[in-house]
Amino acid sequence: MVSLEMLKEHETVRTAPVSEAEALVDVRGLSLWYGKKQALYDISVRFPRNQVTAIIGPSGCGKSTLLRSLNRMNDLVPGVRVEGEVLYEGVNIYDPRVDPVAVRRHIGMVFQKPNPFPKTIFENVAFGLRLMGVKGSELEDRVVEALKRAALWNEVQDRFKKESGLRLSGGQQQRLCIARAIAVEPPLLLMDEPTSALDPIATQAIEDLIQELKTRYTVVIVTHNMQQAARVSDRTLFMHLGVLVEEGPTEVLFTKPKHPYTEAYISGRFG
Amino acid sequence: MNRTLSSPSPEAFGTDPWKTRIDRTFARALVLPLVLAIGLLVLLLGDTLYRSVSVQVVRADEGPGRTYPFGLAATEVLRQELLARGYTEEEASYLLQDPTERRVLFLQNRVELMWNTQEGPFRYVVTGLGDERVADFSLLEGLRRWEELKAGLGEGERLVLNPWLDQSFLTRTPSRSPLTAGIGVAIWGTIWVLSLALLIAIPVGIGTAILLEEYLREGTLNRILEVNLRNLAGVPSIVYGLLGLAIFVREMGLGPTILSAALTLGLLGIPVIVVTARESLRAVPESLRQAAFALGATRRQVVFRVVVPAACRGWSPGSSSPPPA
Repeated sequence: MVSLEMLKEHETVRTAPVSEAEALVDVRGLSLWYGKKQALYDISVRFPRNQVTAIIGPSGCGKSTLLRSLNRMNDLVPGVRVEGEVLYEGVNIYDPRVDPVAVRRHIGMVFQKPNPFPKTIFENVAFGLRLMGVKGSELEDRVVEALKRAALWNEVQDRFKKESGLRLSGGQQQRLCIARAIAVEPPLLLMDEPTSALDPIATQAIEDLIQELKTRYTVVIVTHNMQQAARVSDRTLFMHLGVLVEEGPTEVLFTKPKHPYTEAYISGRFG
Repeated sequence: MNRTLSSPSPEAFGTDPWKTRIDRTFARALVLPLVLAIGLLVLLLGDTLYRSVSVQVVRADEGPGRTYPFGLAATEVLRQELLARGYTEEEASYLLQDPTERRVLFLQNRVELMWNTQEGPFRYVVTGLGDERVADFSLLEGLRRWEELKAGLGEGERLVLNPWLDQSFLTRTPSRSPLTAGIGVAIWGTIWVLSLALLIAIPVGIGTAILLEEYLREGTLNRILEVNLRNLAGVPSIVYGLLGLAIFVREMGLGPTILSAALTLGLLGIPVIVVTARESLRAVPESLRQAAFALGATRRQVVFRVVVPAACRGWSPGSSSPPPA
């Protein structure tokens, strides 16, 4: 029903576009190839500061790929090639002079499956801080602060220095991963389907947390779950077959989609 | 088919006593070889321990024996002592010429010097082992005839429970004579050779595994090395031994030393260590590497702060309960 050729004809439909001043991240004409296969087609979009932007779309549409190109995690995939620019605070992170390792210290990431290190809760959160050379009492303070901000402190305060992160429940593990990501105070937090492996109650806790985090961080979240996108995000991007079809404020995209594919996806006719 | 139970009794589910019995017998039969092996080992150990202790009749050493002029050599003192004990001239010279027998003689008999006696300095022979064994009985027989033997004791004799095996067995050198033989050299040799071999093999093996698994993940070089490593791990150890002899002992001129042995053994161990270390590195989930990279770790930091510790802990996603940190 939807072919790539038809999609490529269309310009991205934009409602209430984000101005350059509002944007923390400005993606300009980003195309990406895995070997010979093209995964992203000429994507341009801006992610506004202190807001939650959701990326939705059917499986294989390139939403995770787009997310991973925002902190150069795709560089780790053999045979990847990128064209275009991703401006972070006005600096192109794909500039050859930019060190991808340094980029990732500015941008936190939370993965689909909780992946705590097989270390204590404390060491999990301290990992990024130690990489930055934080030591002693400051390290401890910032670990506790991150655990509090990730709404995990109350549950682990009596055992966080002894117990392994792997002993926590799935939802707690995911909040631990969030604490680990925000401990280094990254202005931008990327979340790749953070609740897809969790039960509804744990999902609720994470979603509440995302609302809290919005006040300090800019959040980009990839989700499979359209209700979740509607609940947590301020803006939504709809992608299909590697093309950014439509973007706009969440309530507009979900109630009055302008592109026929967006409407078809949202009303559950494909995907 | 009707699946409801005909009557509300436990047997109503149906039983098959014959199959149950076969099952149980089979399970027991599987345990049999294990029981047999453990039984044989216990038997062997028990026999060794049993034979290492015996009941002996000993005569106490009577202190300094005959004295000899100061000017005589120690060997000459022993010869005269042997003659005095009733050995013939031929027997005495044979015992003193054969290196092993001579050594045993010197171990059992100390030739000592004594100064400032009234007659001036002189040499005398002390029977070195202290007590002289008169008779020797196995443990059971000795204990059974304990009273009888005690009654038949002669002048200066007593009955003792004497272990043949004592601590000095662990420190003595090998010998043709069972009395003086020990495993000291074997133990120290093993400790030296093994620790040196591990010192060589572990860093090289683990380093290679990390290089192959974390740095050269894909690629032709990796595939070629993989095949060769698995082949090397299967090479018989005698081939490594010949290699060690040719290269370390002869070519490099290290001689038949501990170092050559350790280098050869290390070489033998490297492929096995590489293959095992790679398996455990591979068991570390990719998601942990991703998490560390996303936090801005360099590859070196990912490898040494996350992957290697996780691999050492033997943690894998398959294990039902991860060990506590």
